[in-house]
Amino acid sequence: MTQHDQPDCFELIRTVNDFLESIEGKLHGSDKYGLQCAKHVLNIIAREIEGAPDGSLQTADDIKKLCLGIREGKYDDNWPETLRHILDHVVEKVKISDPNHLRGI
Amino acid sequence: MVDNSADLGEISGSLQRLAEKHFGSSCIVKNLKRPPMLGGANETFIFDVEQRSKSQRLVLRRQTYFENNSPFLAMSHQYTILQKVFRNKVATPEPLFELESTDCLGKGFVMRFVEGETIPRKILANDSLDVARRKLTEQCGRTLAQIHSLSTEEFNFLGGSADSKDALQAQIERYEKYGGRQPALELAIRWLQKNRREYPVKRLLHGDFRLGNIVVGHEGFKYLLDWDCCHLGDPMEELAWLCLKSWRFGKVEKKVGGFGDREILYRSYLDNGGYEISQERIRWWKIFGYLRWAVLNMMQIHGHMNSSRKSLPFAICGRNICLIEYDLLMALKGEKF
Repeated sequence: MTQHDQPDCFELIRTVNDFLESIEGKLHGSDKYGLQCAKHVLNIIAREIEGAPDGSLQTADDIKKLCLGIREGKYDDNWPETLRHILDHVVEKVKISDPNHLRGI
Repeated sequence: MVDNSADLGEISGSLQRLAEKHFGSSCIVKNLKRPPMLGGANETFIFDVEQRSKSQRLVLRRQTYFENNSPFLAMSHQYTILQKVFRNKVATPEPLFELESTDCLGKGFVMRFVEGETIPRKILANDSLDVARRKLTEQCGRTLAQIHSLSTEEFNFLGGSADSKDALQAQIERYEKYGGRQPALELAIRWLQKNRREYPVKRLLHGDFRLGNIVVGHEGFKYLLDWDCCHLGDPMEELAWLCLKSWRFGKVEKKVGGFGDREILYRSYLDNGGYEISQERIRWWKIFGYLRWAVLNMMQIHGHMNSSRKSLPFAICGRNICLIEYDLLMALKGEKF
């Protein structure tokens, strides 16, 4: 893998975030809302890069098979285990999207 | 923000001509602005029409979502509903007129602007709305009872919509249309199919009754907005929807919309002529509600990825799906299969 020059991607994200914060006071209405969205997206990106790579990631094929199986009732007899398994994967996604959500915030 | 809607300058000329058509050539359109579009079907423009030193503030609502199997009603139906519920004294903005093709403004309608707070986090936090928050649960129960008591004869034209015919099937079809490959949502679909409940009455439902669509003033509930998801269905669907965790905006301990307790909501609903509460059906509609909310987010991200209907909020919708799935699975965990 290529070793990039400074700054690393986290510093780049922080710098963009700082810039957005510096102009926040000048914005109103939909622009202000857009800026908050942009900061949220930056945070998602930062957490995603930091969290990768995850060896337990399901492939698209795994997911497709699981979905079809559930629809056909193949997991009806293993309902609690299936739910637990799917919840584990959902929690991994939530940790990236908005970890506060797991604390009920 | 990048989105598919017109710039203000682009519509201001057409809007001036529209105002002249309805209010006479001496009127002037002023203060045109567009509040942020948070995700719904319609875009909103607010403007003043001034005439002989008198001014009235109006709202233009325009369609932005044009896909088949839309979860949103056609603008003409929305307008008709608004007329009918307004006539029946439901607290909602007064509808004034519908757009015509010669207005060159697309599909939509104009209604009167109403004053008040709509931003959920402000409603839940502002000190000045303390009294409002204490009254809101009771008022919501009363308004829901009022809507559910309206004669459905007047709203028969909604009977053929996918959501009125079979709400679950409508969600499944949309889920698949948006490329559904979400194991958590599959679990919900399977559970909902295996545990379907008959319901005794089919009534008019607002379809999206929660903060964001409620205008709040110092005395609490003022107006109900956004009838674009209106359909005929089980009144319990609406009670369950208002109590989803997704609408608590951080105040999770307050089960009703982030501001109230279920017992107060149900009591008020019943005292004002609402239908008998069925906890069992409310639980079914709760799981359904999370599925529906997740599918609506899938719709936004599907549009963002596959059409020109792009925006930052729509992009974020894609990453919000897992948050809804989490709440859904936590609710489903407590249910027997």
